[in-house]
Amino acid sequence: MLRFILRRLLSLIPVLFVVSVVIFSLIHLTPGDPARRILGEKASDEAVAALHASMGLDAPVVIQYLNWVGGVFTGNLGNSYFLNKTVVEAIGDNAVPTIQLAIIAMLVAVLLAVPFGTIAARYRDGAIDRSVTAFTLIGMTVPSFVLALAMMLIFGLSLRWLPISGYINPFEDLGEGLRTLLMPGIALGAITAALIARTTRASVLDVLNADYIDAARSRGVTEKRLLFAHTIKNASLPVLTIVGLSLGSLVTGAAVTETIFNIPGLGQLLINAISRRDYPVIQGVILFITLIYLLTNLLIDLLYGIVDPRVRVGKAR
Amino acid sequence: MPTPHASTPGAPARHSRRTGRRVASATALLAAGALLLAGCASGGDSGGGDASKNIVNLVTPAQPESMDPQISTDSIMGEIASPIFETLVTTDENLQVTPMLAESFEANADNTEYTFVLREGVTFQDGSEMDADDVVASMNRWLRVSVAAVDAFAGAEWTKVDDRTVKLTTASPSFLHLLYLAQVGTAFPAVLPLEVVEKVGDAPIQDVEDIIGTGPYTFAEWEADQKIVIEKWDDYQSVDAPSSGRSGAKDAQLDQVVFNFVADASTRTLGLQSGQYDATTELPFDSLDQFQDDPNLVLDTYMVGPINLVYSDDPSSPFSNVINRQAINTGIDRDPIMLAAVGSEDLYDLVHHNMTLGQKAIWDTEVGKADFNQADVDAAKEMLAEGGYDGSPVVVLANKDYSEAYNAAVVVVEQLKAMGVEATLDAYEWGAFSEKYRENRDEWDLVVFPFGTELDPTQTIGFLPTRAGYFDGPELQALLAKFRSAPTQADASAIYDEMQEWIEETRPMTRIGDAHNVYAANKDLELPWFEGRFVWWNAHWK
Repeated sequence: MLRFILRRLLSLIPVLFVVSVVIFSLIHLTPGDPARRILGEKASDEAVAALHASMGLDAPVVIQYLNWVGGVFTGNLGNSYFLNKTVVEAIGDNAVPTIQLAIIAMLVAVLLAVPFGTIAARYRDGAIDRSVTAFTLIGMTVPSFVLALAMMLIFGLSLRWLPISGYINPFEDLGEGLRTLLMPGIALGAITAALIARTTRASVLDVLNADYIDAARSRGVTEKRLLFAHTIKNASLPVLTIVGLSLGSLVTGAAVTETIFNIPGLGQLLINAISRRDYPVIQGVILFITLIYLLTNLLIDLLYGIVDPRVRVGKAR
Repeated sequence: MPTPHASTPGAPARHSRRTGRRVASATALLAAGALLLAGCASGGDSGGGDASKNIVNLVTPAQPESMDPQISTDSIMGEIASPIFETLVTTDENLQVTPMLAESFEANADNTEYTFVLREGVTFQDGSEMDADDVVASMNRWLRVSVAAVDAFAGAEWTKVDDRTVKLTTASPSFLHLLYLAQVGTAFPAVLPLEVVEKVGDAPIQDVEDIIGTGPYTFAEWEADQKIVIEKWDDYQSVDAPSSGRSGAKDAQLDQVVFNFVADASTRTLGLQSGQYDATTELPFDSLDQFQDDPNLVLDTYMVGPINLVYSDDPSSPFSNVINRQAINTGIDRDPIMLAAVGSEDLYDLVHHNMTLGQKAIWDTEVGKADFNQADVDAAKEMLAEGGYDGSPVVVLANKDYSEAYNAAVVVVEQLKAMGVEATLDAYEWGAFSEKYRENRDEWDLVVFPFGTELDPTQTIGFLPTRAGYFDGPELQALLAKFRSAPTQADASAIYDEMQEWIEETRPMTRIGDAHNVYAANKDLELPWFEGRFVWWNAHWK
C-alpha cells in the first residue's frame, strides 16, 4: 500500500514538470505585458524597460524558467506583481473560499442526489423517478451562470434573502458566511448533483437487478436490509468515482461561479492574473490546480480499495 | 419473521416507503434549514446599503493595478485616491486654480517660476508634519514618474526656499503648468511624505502602509480584487474657506467608503437594484433603460472618452496611402456606430475635433467642421479607387474588454464592407490587444481604440510619438512643442487650430464619437459629483 502511494506520488513529478514547461511557455508566448499594465498605456518605453528589469523580465526566458523552477523545489513560487504578496500566500488566501464553495456544492449535490437517485431507482418508472430524471436533465443542461442569475433575481433581488454577491468567511461569521456561499454553492453543485443522481440511479438499478439480490430476497431478507446492506454499498463505486472527479472539478473549475458571485477564490485569482499577465500567479495557481487534481485521483483510487476489497491496492494478483 | 415475497425491485413496500420518506424529509429539512438560515439572517444585508453604519458601498468593475497616485493612469485610482491625497493647488467649481496644500502661490513676470507658500499645521496621516522637504521630494518624483508631467514639465525642477516655501522653475512658460498641478485624475501631483518617496524611489508604491496622504480619508484596507476601504481621518485639518469644486473646506461625514470590485456587469446591476451597493461610477451601457425609472437611484451621465479609428502606419497596409485614409473618414456613418457602442442617443456626442464636447469652452475649433461626418459611401468608393485599393484584406483590430469599443468595431467592419473594403474583425482581450496595437503593426490595418479624456490635446494617446499610426514626424513634434510652451490659453487655442489642420491633412485617425458613462447613487445619499468624480468628503446620508 505504502509502496503504491509512494510510486504514485513519484509519478506526479514528470506530469508536474510537463505542465510547468507548457504553462510557462504558453504564458510567455501570449502577447501582453504586466509592466505596461502597471504603468499604463502611455508609459514610456524606458519606464517599462526599467520595470521589466526590476521584475526580472529582462532575462532570457529559459533563465526565467530555471529561476522559477528552482524556487518551486524550495516551496517558493515567487511574488505576485500586483497583489503585494507571495504566490503561496495568494494561493493560500484564495484556496479557502474555493474549498468552502466546493464543499458546500458537494454537500448540496451529494445530500440531494444520492437519496433521490436511490429512491428513483427503487421506485423505477414511478412519479418520483420521472421527476428526478427531469430535474437531472435540467441540472445537466442549464449552464451554471444561467442558474446563478436566476437565483440572484429570485433570492437576491425579489425576496432579498441572500446577498447578490460577495464573500464572508464562515469561520468569522457563520450565518453571514453561509448566506454568501449558499447561492454560489447551489449554482456550482447543480451539474454535479445531476450527474451523481443519474449515476446513483443507474448503479442502484444495476445492483437491484443482480442475481444475488433476488437470492437474498428469496431467503427472506427485508427490503430495507436489501437496500441498505446489500445494494447501496455495492452501487457506490461508480458514485464514488463521480464524486471524486467532481470534487476535483469543483475546486478547479469554479471560475465562472466565483466571477459571477464575486468570490475571491482560486478561479477568480487565476482569471484576474491572466488578465493582468501576473505570470508568477498564473504559473503557481495552475501548478497547484494540477496537483490538487492528481492528488484527488490518487485519493479516489485508494478509496476504491476501502469500499470494495476486490480492488484493494496490493491485494490483487 | 419477514414474509418472503417475489416483488420486483420497483415494487413498493411499507418499510422502504418509510425509508424513502425519511430520506426525503431529511433532504427537505436540510433545504428548508438553509433557506431559513438565509431568511433569518437577511436583515443584515451584508456588504452594503446600510446608512445606519454611515458607510457607502460603491461598486465598480475592476480594481486599480496600482494605488500610486503619481504613476497610475487608472481612473478608478483617482476616484479612490482623491480623498486620501492632496495637491498644492486644486480647482474650484468654476475650474479656477486655487490653493489647497499651498496657502498662496505666485508666478514671476515671464511665468517660468512659481513660488508656493505652504499651509501651516498640515500633517500627514502618519502624524508627521508636512514641510518643504516633503513637497520638493514629492514634486520632483512626480516630474520623473508621471506620464503627463514628463512632457508638460520637461526641464522643470522643484527647489526648497525655506521650510514653508517651495519654488518650481520651468524651462519655458506654459499655460499648462498650473492646470497640471491642479488635476487629481490620474498620475497626479499628490504630496507624499519624504520617507515614502525615499523608500520607493521612482518605482510604483506597492506597500499599502505607504499610501499616506494629507486628505480627509485614510487608506484602511485592500482585499485584492474584492474591495478597497477608506476611512474618515479624524485629525484632518480643513481649509477655512467655503467648499467649492475640489477646493475649500472638506467635511468628511461618512465613516467609511467601500469600493467593491465586481467584474460581472449583471452582478453589479442586480447588486445596485437590491440595495447591496449604494453607488456606481459606471453602469453598463445597456442597463440605462432598466435604471432610468428606478425610484431608489439618482442617475446622470458624464464623458468617458472618445472612440477613434487609428490607421496602421505599416507600409504594407492600404492605409499607408493618405487618400485611402481620407476615404474611410468620408465614408463612415458615425451615428449607427455610436448607437451600437453605447445603446442610446443620450449617451454619445459627435465632435469634429480632437477634444471632447465638454471641453468646448477651452478647446474648440472650426477646422474640420464643414466636412465632418459626410457618410458618403459612393465618394469613399471613388477615393479608394483613386488611392489604389485593390480589394486586399483589411484587418480591424479591437479589444473585447471595452464593450463600447468592441461594439463600435463590429459596425465599422460592416460599413467598411459597404465601401467595398474586404474587412474582418480581429478582437482580443486587453493585454494581447494592447501589445498587437503597439508592436505588431503589420498584423492590422485599422484599430478601434477608446481614448481617455485629457486636460490638453497633447496628452491624447494619439499624439504620443511612440504610438502606432501616423503620429510621429518633425512637423507634429514641432507643433506639440510650440503648443506646450504657449504662455496663455489664447495662444494655445490658436496652435490647437494648427494641430487640427495637421490631423485633417494627415488623417492619422478618424474620430468616431464621444461615449458617456452613467453614474448612479442611492437617492438617500447626498453625493456631490464634480468633473468626473464623486466628492466623497462632502457626501453624507440624508
